[in-house]
Amino acid sequence: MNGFNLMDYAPILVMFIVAFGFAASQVVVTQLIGPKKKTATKLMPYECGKDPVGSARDRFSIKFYNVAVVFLLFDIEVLFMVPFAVAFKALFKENVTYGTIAFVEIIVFIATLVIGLIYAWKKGTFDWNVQARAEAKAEAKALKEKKLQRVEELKRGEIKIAA
Amino acid sequence: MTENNLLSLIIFAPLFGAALNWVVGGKLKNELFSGAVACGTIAVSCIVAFYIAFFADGGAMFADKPTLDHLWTWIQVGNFRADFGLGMDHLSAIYACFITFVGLLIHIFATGYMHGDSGFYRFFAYLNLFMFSMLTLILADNFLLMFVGWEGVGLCSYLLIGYYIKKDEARVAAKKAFVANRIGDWGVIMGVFLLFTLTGSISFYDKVVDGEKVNSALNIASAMSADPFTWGAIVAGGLTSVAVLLFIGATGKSAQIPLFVWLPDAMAGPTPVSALIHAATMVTAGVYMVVRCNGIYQNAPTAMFIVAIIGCATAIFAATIGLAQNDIKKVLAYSTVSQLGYMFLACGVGAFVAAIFHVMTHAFFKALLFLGSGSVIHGMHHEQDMRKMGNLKKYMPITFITMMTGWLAICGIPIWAGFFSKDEILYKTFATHASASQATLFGQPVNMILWVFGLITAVMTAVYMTRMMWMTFFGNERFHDEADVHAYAEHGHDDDHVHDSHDDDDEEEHHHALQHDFKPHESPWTMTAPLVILAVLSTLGGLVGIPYAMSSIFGAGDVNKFEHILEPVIAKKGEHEAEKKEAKHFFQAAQPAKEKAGEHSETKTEKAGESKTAEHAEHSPEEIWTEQKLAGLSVLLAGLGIFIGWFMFKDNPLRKMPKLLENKWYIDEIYNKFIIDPITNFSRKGLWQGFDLGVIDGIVHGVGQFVTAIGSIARSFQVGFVRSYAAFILLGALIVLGYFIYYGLKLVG
Amino acid sequence: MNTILLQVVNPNVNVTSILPEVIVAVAGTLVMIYDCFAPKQKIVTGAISLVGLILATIALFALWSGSYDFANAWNGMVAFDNLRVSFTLVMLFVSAMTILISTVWTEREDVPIGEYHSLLLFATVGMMFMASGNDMVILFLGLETLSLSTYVMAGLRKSDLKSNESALKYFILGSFASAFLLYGMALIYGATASTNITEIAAKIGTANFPALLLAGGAMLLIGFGFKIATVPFHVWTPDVYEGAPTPVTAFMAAGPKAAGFASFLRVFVLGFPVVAGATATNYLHGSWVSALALMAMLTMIVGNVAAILQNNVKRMLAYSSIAHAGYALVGFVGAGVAKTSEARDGAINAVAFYLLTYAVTNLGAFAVVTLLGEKNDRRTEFEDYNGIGFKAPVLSFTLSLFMLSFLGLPLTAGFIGKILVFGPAIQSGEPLLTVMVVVAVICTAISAYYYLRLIVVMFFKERLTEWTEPKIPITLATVLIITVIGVFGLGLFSDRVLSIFKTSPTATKAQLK
Repeated sequence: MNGFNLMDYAPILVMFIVAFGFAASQVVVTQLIGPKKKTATKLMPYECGKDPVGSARDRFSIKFYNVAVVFLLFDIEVLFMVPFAVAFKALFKENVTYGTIAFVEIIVFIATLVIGLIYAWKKGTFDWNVQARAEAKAEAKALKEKKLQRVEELKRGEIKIAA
Repeated sequence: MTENNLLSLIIFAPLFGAALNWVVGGKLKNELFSGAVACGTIAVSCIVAFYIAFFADGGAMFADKPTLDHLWTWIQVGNFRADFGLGMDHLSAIYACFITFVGLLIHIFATGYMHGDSGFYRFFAYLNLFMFSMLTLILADNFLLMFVGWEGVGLCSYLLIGYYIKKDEARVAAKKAFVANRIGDWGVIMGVFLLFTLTGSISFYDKVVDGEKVNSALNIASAMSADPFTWGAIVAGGLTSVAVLLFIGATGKSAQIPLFVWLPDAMAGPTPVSALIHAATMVTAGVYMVVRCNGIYQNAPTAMFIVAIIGCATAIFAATIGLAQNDIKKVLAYSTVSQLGYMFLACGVGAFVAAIFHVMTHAFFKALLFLGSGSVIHGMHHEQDMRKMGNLKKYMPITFITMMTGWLAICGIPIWAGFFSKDEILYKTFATHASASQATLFGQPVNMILWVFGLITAVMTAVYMTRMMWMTFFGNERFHDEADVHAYAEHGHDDDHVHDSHDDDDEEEHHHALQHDFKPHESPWTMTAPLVILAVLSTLGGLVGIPYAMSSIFGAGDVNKFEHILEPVIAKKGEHEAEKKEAKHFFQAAQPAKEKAGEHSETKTEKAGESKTAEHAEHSPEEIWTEQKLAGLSVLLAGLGIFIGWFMFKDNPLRKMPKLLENKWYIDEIYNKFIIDPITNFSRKGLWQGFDLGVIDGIVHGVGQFVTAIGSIARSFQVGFVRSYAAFILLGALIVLGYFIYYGLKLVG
Repeated sequence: MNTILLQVVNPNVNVTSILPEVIVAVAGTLVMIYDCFAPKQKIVTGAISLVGLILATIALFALWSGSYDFANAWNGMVAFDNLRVSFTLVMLFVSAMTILISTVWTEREDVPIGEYHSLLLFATVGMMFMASGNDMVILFLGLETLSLSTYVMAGLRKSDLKSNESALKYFILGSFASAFLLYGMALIYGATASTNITEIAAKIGTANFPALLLAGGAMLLIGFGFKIATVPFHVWTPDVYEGAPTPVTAFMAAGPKAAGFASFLRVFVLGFPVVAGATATNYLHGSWVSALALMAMLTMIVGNVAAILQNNVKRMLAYSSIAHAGYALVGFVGAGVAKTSEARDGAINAVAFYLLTYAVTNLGAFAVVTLLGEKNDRRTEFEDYNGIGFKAPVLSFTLSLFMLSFLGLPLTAGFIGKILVFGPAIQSGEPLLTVMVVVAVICTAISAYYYLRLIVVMFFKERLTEWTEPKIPITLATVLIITVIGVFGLGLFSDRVLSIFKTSPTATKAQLK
């Protein structure tokens, strides 16, 4: 590995800059141009759709986790396709057979993913079904009542919102 | 080496029958089915045994090499090798034939005898299992497999003696038999170990298995030089030690002094069992083993001497007890012990062929007598006390006639089987050159003393057998004399009458006080047919082994087939000396110890076209004359015995016998007092209360507390918190890492 | 910018060489798909799984016949030797038996049966790769596939707290151990610049950073030690085994343990040999051998002593499985000190044979325990077995037989197994190993206490409560028949099984040159 050239790694630096820049810009730009209608709910700290105040033992749907896990799996597995795509060209150039093998393998890989998807689908991971919807409604109602209560309390000045 | 896979069928057919009876028969509870399965499988064994012995590949009984059947390699560790393999040579062939045949007859008999018993299928399952074990014992091609059969017959004997599980007597007897056998088994297994260390093999035959040559332990032992004739040889760890250890096993299995006590008690089992196991087959296993190992015994003069002495002592000792027993089966039991003594006497003086000959004839006539007694007991509604019988010849003619033949056979009346074999033994004892003839007692060679005792035993045999026959079949009918019998029952020998006191809770025996209108009845054909066949065999069975001395009287040639067949089995020890000595007279005491006694004077070869002159060279006129004289003497003595018996008991069949004899010389009491009680006391006081409770329990409890203490420490780790587990693993990991890094540091430094 | 050099090598894709694994994986996928389309089925997935396992076994025997040469398949990432085939056989057997055992339980506990079967098959694939991988990466992948499946299986009884606890503990501690393992692999890679076991063995004498070898070896030892539950890395075992559903416990005690041994053996015995003149390598060899010998002794002592104290049969069997891992380790160490490659292969076969005997006995015992248990895996205390001896003779006699085999009574499989694993260690003549074998024998004597206790409880204790013998369903009867035959068959015909193990595929010699 002689001939180490720092410039070879320049793209990575660029990627870092872009990534940071994008993240920062999102925060800044939304602050600047977004509409600002302050409600009690909006002013609450964000916690993935949960009520941040109340009992920590509050139950909420496991489906959040299901979706999260499935997302992670597919997300990460898509990552495999990038190095494949890079290597694929070279393999084809070297030997057509190698390329074919690589192609078949990625097909098998994707097929496996598809099977996984079908499985998740059939098992109802993506189906926030009727019961779940009803649960969600009930939850929302309870939440609303709680909020109304909070608003009342706010109005009565019993509690204060920091800043 | 002939291979014949049919051989395994002989042993596996009864095993299959046992399994079928146990699994299916237990569900069906159908006597016809159980009986058919049991008899059918034995019939298969019997046919196959005869086929292999006489026909297959020229017949195992005549071929030069044994017929082998290697099933699988059982154990192979280092140079120790034990195969699950069967072998049939001439000796095994004779045994297999008579065991399967007599066994078949007894099975058939038992279907009649056990009729109506609630455990019918169980009985036949055990009986078949016994046949399997017994055939494994005699067909095994090595000591270890033989020992499997040896243990198997012991187990089956235990199961069958205790077959009437509700009878205390049977349970105790079964236990006693098992314990006595176990003592003997110790000897066998030690003997086999020792033999293996001496010869490096436990196989009986030279053979080739999986391309590997296996040498016969017996041939190796036979080729070794003979041990000296001293007492020290017993503990020297040589062939004499092997022979003595094996003989200890034989005394257990074949009921010799000092381990004979179990056999009379074993009569608590059903009568067919007594006939099959405790008369015809299993008890002769000891004789089989000694004859099988004759190569070892011939090199162990001290052991031969012991065998002869023990055999003779047992013979006369048991005969005296037999004189005074009142239970018909007990008489026969002591008679069996006595006859077994004869067989060992024969082995001890080197007359191995005569021993086996007697085993065979004894199997016929003793099975006959036992089955006859079974028929009597059956006819008498399970009454075994001869004092309650009498004049049964009127009611049970077939049983009577067949038993008469058995009686003639055992007494040793010419033509009947027992005559030839017993006479042969006595003659060989008289004429032996084995170690027994070298020691002297009271100025006489020991073999002469043995011979005299043998003759006395023969007389006594005739006496007690006549007594038994008379009490049972002749005289007045006594089966209604309740009071009379009870008067006798009170004479302090309750041992013989235990069944009286247990009848109340004994459903299996069907024994009740005999009704006044009771009449004994003849048994069904399933029982009488075997009797008739056995009676024929008892009459004619001896003809296969007529000594030359006898046959020559009638001008016949050498017709002793039996001896020719067995001859190759008996190791040819010192054949050359034998030839040299041929001219000499018999009674010169100081013959070399190695001499193959009793053999050398007779046939050495079995070539067909042998000339008359050669025959004459082997049977010198003097010897023949001696043998004839002695045979005449035997017949006279047998007649005398019968006369004494008739004279003493014809008018007074209930004649009171000496109490000492009736109580069996108080042997059981002596054993109890001097062996069993001390052991029990030592076990209870010393081993249990002292050692076990004190030392062992102390240690165990100590260890237990220690372990519990450790456990509670361990438990403090096992609290159930993942964090503590992780910490524990981390601690362990650090120790392991430290251990490795210790070496790493060495590397750096 | 465009100077990226792609070194193209022959991918050498050879599906035949991993056909058994592929078959099981496909069967697992099929089960999964079938289950999600027909969730109410009871036997179809079981049947598919069994067929898959049987086909895999056939494929395995076809490979075994030695008519293939896979020396360079997958660029040497897949091994092809008797270590692989004999252990794979054990694993396939364990899985098939587990499926049969579980039928009672799945019905009683109402578990999602399809999920269970697919998880079991995926676990089996993982195990098989642990045996067949000749590359640390493959080994790790196999191990993780196995572990993730078993974590879930341990918690299959979702509504039961103990089962949940068991799964969570297993997961957390298992991840902890995997970290050690991975770190160890990284260090070894650092030292030898290879992850391929054969290459490591070749390069280990001339490692770049010898000190790294020792640290890496220690880490690997810890990681594998956790998987096969040797003291002091056994702490998870009793809790996990007790909490997990009984059939899963049976599986975990037999299958993953065998898989752990397979990888462990491959990495240490084949990967870290003695190299003349290479000090670091020999330090590594010496220290892993002696460390393992000590661990084996501790494992046997702790496993047996702790088992004595247990009042729960499942927990007793869990500790007993720890003890048995100790016995197998004795053979492992024996393989480590073997002087010739024949002796080494013999010792490896002995360990495989031992694990097979353990698997047979263990599965049989658990089959009975499963059947006697009630919903939520209750009724596994010793006192629940009081006096059932003559009320359920078939079950109690077979269970007694398995106890005797565990104990190592002659004629049973356990006896021959023990003889075989103790042999190589005693033959080496090294004092430490001799001491180890002596400890093993003493521990065997100790173990008589708790194995016989179960027999005593069954046959000689009075039962105070009502109890009726459960009906033995056909699947369990099959398991019992197979295992009973196995116990006697392995005990009597060990030669034949071993001679099958010995027929190493032809490629072995080529690969291990």
